[in-house]
Amino acid sequence: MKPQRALTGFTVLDLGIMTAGAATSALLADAGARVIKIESERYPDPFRKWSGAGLTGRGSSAAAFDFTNRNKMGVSLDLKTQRGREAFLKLSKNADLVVENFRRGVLEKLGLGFEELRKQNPRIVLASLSSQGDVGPEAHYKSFGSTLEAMGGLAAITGYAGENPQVSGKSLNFPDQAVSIFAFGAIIAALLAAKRKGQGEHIDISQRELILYMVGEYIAAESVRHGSAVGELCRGNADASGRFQGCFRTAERRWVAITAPNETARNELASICGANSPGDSNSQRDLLAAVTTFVAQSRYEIVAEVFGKAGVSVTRVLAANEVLNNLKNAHWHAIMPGPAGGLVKGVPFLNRISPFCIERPAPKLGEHSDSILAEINEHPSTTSTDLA
Amino acid sequence: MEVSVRICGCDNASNVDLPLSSFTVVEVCTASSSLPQRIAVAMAGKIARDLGAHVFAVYGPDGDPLGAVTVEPYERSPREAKALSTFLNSGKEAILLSRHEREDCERIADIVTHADALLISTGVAENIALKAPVTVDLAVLPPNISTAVPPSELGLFALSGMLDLVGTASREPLMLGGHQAAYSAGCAAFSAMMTGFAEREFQGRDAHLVVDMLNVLMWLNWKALAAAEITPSEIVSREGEDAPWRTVPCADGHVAVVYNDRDLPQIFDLLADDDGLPGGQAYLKSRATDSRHDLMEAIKRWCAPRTRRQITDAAQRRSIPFGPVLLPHELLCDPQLIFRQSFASVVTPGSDAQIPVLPLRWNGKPVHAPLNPTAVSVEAPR
Repeated sequence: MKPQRALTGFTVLDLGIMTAGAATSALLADAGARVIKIESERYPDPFRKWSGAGLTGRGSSAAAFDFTNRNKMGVSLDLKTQRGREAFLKLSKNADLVVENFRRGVLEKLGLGFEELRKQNPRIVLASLSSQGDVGPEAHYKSFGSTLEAMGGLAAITGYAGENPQVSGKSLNFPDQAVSIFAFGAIIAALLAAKRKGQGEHIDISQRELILYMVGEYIAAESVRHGSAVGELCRGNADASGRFQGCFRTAERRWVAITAPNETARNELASICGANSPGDSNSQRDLLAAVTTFVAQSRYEIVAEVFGKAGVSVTRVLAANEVLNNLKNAHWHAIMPGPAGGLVKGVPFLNRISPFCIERPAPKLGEHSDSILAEINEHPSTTSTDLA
Repeated sequence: MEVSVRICGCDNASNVDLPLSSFTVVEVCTASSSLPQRIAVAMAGKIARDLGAHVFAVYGPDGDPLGAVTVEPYERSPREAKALSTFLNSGKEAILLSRHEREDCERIADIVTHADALLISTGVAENIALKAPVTVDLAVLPPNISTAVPPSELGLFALSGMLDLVGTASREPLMLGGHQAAYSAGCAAFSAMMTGFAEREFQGRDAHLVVDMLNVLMWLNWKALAAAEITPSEIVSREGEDAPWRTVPCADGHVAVVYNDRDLPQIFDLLADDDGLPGGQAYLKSRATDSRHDLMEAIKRWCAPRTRRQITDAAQRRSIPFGPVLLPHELLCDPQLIFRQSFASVVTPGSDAQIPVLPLRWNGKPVHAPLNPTAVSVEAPR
């Protein structure tokens, strides 16, 4: 018998594509839910053929797809056909949750909006993840994650001191990743509420608003002090709360990140590097120059040892391949070996009592159509054009 | 102190049946907790509070330590600091400890006995830590990694590989602004807590969840780590001016230039709109095939004389995902965010700070718990 996990017994119909929706559903699968990914030959998840940012194929599908869809089952249904739509609605009768991140209006155009789903299953939860939310004058905007960093306020506070704002870019696309971590918890809140009230719930999550939330203290500060300009808010690697901090190059020409977590450590650092200690912006500049010189003349091990003894945090700036090399040496679960070999995306946190499991590789398109559609008396082999 | 909340433009938030209104959550950090841990724990508690939970935050005799953490450039000294604490801790109930260890332990134990979940930073005594049905333990690093001094958020970015992604190769790596590492870990801790509630409600057992900030950041950075495994010869590092997605200056600020290959025909169409470019689409297409750099230069020239509004309108008409870089004061009056009722006011004597509400609507309505449980008034739209 399989171990029971937090969401064992729940069924999720996953219309999530790319990162935000698909990664959220993957977390639900890790927590024990039976997640059925719905795609079709005509409209597969674009991540199946993704080749950007070094994520080329490593087998029959692109690595981007494998990483974010492991632990799911796959059913092929063309939701634009009457039979495909009807099959989806039949599946929804026995499902607990639908996750989607289509462009706004698509679900309704397919005849699969929340009201339609509720007619089939009054207790169903619909989780919609979108760029700007379901409603509003810009709800129809097309955006990728970095568009929303700009429109949500994060770009305005990211950049070299006094220079242009920056976005995290294609290799990170921060909002798409961050939203899944939040959405997973919000969806469980909706499942709890649905159970308690015995009725369906619709949650509408805006990625732009998530970014706004994650710069909330700047909004609070701006609302009482007013008027920051471009460049004023970009402060490089300076600590958001003013502690001495920065990236410096060692004698080996390697970057290290250095933070003095308190005034005592800052004064010790100044003393080690021969700078004036406390005080005004001049001494801050003096300290920056002194640390730059000291670190440039020292090897990493020396910097780490000497500064560490002074209570100063020193860490190497690692490239992605160096992070992977470290995987052998510690308790990593964010990236882990997958059930079909190779690495896959793991889990962001651990459940000590009933651990998350990654048991199956990402499904081939329609891999489980036969068995799952048989549960609703549909037979894809005889109706393949409409269903898949 | 008299505090009230006014939900901006929102006359129906109080009608939402808040999903966590029957839950009690307690935050406990220790004197040795690092600032990133404190912020992450506070963020997890804040989300729970915004969803209606009754949240107690246990502080030492000097009160909320985040109350002395500044948000620069707005606040220049700890005396001025207010914004971080206002954002993260409004609406929570503070419990101040005395300096008497035994008394304090008894008091915390008593509070924890009535809690559904405990959000703690690693190091909280075990006799307290596992007393609640759900415990979320928040660490900076995984258990078998130790450093002389706990890494800061900058250090965590460095260890996760994220720091190597933003900025220019010839200059220092660049972190994302604000507290993105701690806030991301806070979101993970919130989701961990909800997993614990699911364990309790659906499987009938207690739960102990563990969040370490470095694993959270590595999880966020999966694309770069996956690429390093699959195509190790093409590791992406700080691409700066050559980055495919970046911001470019325009007449009244900056816009984010973000696109995929399938957007190229629309981008050629956008740029051909400009009489100053020779040869229109065919020229641009041939040049872009040769060099992405040339395409970006053409985009920069096209954007330079135009405003963010003009650029965004023209791009979005063609389904190109460009967007304006907005500053905090512009966000506060942004039409989409106002329409979505995305801000609430925390009103204290002499101050009327606005903060973002949860980034979701529940059955079509914004979700917002009272920001102070003792003195609350919800007013009509301004």
